[in-house]
Amino acid sequence: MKRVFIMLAAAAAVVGCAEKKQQEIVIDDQNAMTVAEDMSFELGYMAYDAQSYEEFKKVRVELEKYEEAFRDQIGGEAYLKYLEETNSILSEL
Amino acid sequence: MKTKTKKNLAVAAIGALFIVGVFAISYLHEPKLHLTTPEKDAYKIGQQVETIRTENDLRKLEKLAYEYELAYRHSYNGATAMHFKALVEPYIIAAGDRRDAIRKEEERLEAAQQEFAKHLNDIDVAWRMELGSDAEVLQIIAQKRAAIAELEESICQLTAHKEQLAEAAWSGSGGSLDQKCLEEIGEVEKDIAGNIAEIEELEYSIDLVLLACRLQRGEAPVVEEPEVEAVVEADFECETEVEQ
Repeated sequence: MKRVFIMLAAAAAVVGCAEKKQQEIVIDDQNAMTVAEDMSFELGYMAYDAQSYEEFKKVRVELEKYEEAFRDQIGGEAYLKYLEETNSILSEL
Repeated sequence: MKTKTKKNLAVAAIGALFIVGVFAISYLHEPKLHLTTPEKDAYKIGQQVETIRTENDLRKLEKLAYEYELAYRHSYNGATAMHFKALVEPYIIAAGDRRDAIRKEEERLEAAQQEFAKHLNDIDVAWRMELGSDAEVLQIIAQKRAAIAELEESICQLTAHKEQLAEAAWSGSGGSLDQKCLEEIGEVEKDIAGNIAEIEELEYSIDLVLLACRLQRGEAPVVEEPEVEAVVEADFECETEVEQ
């Protein structure tokens, strides 16, 4: 019985890790500047045009995920570009 | 005789060990720098400039250059050390400039991060804000603006009072500054800073209400322009009034 529980827990952990891996955003460092420009534009205007709080919350999660990804994977100029472009769009509100 | 010889040998051995120990300690404490020529060593330091990222990196490089300088002074003479110092100085300046540029970039990044978080939080708060009718919103804004006007008026009065206190402090006995007046000026300055902070908070809350209107209703109610100018301008006006 104990072994079955251990095996189930291990399987759950593997599935959990796999799902987490799928959710992670991987930024192509060769095109980081283009991705920063495109994503800040796309997500920034999605937040700008959100028609409800629920809609905004979903976009916010995406904006923050990309912010985290740029910060942890790329950094430097591309990260700064993502932040500044998004800020520029949101400040129009 | 035999015992005496043994004793002498033991003393000699201890003495030798002591000397070896002293040499070993001084050797360990000496910086392990292999000196070549001032030109080559300065160039070696120059090559490390590109690796500078943090304040700590810069301090380490400066320390290394200083250690080389000391080593040249110690192993050769003062002139060689000065020659090395003159050669390495442009590299140290370049390293400092590089660190300054990186610091500016870090500050810009930090400001952008804070602005990003602030935008998202403001929009979040604005979406969740419970708004009344347009008339109610306008009334709330009018109340806040009236409070701002009062605070600005108070800043004017406090500024005038501060100027009076400053004059009184200077015209004290024997040309020395009156300590009591100075303390009072400090208190007045704190009050002014408090009022300015309160005004900024009120202006921020008005901005949030207007943002909430734009998000939830598509447009913000038309608010009449306030009669009183911004704090900075009001402050300036106060100063000119006092001068007059």
